[in-house]
Amino acid sequence: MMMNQLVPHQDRNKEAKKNEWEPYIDNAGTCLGFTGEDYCVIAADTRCSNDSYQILSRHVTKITKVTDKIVLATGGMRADYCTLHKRINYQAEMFRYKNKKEISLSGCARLLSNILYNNRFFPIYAFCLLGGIDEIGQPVLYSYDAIGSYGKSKVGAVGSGGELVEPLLDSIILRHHRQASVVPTISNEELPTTRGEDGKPIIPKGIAIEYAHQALVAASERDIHTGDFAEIYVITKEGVERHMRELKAD
Amino acid sequence: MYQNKSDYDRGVNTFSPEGRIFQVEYAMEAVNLGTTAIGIQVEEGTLLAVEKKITSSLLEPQSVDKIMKIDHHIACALAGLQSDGKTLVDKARQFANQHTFNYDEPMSVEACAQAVCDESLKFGEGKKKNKMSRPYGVALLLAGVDEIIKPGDKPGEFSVTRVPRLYHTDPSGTYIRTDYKAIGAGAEGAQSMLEEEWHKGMTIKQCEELCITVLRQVMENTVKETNVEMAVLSAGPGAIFHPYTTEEIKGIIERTPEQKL
Repeated sequence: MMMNQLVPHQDRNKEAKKNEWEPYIDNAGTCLGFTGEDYCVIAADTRCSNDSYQILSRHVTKITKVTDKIVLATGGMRADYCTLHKRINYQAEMFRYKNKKEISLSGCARLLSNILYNNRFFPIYAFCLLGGIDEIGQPVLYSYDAIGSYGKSKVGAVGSGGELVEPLLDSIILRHHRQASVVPTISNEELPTTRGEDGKPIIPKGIAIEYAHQALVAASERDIHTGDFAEIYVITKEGVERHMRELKAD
Repeated sequence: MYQNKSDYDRGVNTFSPEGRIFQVEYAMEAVNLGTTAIGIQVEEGTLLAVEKKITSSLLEPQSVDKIMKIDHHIACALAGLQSDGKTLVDKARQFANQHTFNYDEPMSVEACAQAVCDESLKFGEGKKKNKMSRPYGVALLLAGVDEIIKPGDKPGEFSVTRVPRLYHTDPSGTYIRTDYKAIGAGAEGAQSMLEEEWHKGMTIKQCEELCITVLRQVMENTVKETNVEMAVLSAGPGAIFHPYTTEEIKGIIERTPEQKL
């Protein structure tokens, strides 16, 4: 006891740190999503890295298709989100058997929130984006924190590059803080010309995919944990499309 | 091998050599001792009607409730052991609430019936806590309305259709979907009457009268507003579950013509 008191404060903390159990590791990666007129786009990079400069894998998927109308993308700790994806798929399957119908998007959103909140005091290290087409045929995106707080949003970005991508989407997709007449030039693709009731351009599906790709390109320039490939899912009434694009590999 | 049948009907864990579990069959007999309950399903909704036995003039008729609400869109009528019924209905309420908590949507009537049946099979002799030592001696008529939401052609457009449902569950844990069903002491007579009278296009008003006519036939006492309980689960707009008040039942009894035998 006396000895312990003689040890300087900082050193004691160091001593304690050494023996501390670390259950979490951030495998990072960026997920983004947004909704359009009749589609929902969800995209993520495929890099899996550890806390330092190492790349553990270049081909890791962060996105899972729950039903023909629901897609889940998750960043955070790989072991945790893999288990989470398996759990949500299991629950969706059980729902199918018990209720003889597909789980709805709002139902799946609540289910995911419950799973996360059930681990309130030892949280699943996963940051989710859940998107798709809801019961009335409208595209909806939900974004989550690690303990199950969730909400509908038009754009969302989570993971290591989430902070970089979010304002980009605000500006390009929602056209916040912009004059309606200014057209962005982030892509060489043909730019949207048709405008909605609010004067903001309606983004066609094909261009939306390019925007999602470009947003991940932008994130991979600044965030070392994002890169390799972009996996882009587009959910429409007809089903789910999957597109692959290249990102920086360095 | 035991010598005779009576050796097999004590335990619920043992099949008899003929492949029967007697305790389950006896539980189904308990249902046949109960008061008559009727469920009729038509396009407009589902109607439930139950006979109430008023054993004493001192008994408050309102205190006997044999039609119970499970969720805002599901209700049930029961025949058999009332206390078992209350336990089972309590479980059903939990399941329905759990479903809404989990999935942010009302439970479908069929899923509820399945959950009730799963529950009524959880009996047996063992050391497990909170486990029933015998089958539930009650049958339920589960009535409800399922909402089916379909997207329209244009984004934002959608249609909601309400579909009435009627399920019958028994102590053996089987459930069936029916258009009409009678359970309890007068089940046989009531069922054959329903078979003759029921048709798909009936209105709720006609159903109400049919219920009273059937109950008049199968009940020993004269049908009065105090010894009959009725409720409707309407597929129309507005509230789904509506238990009839004594005045409403009185009105139905008065407008239903007495049938000559």
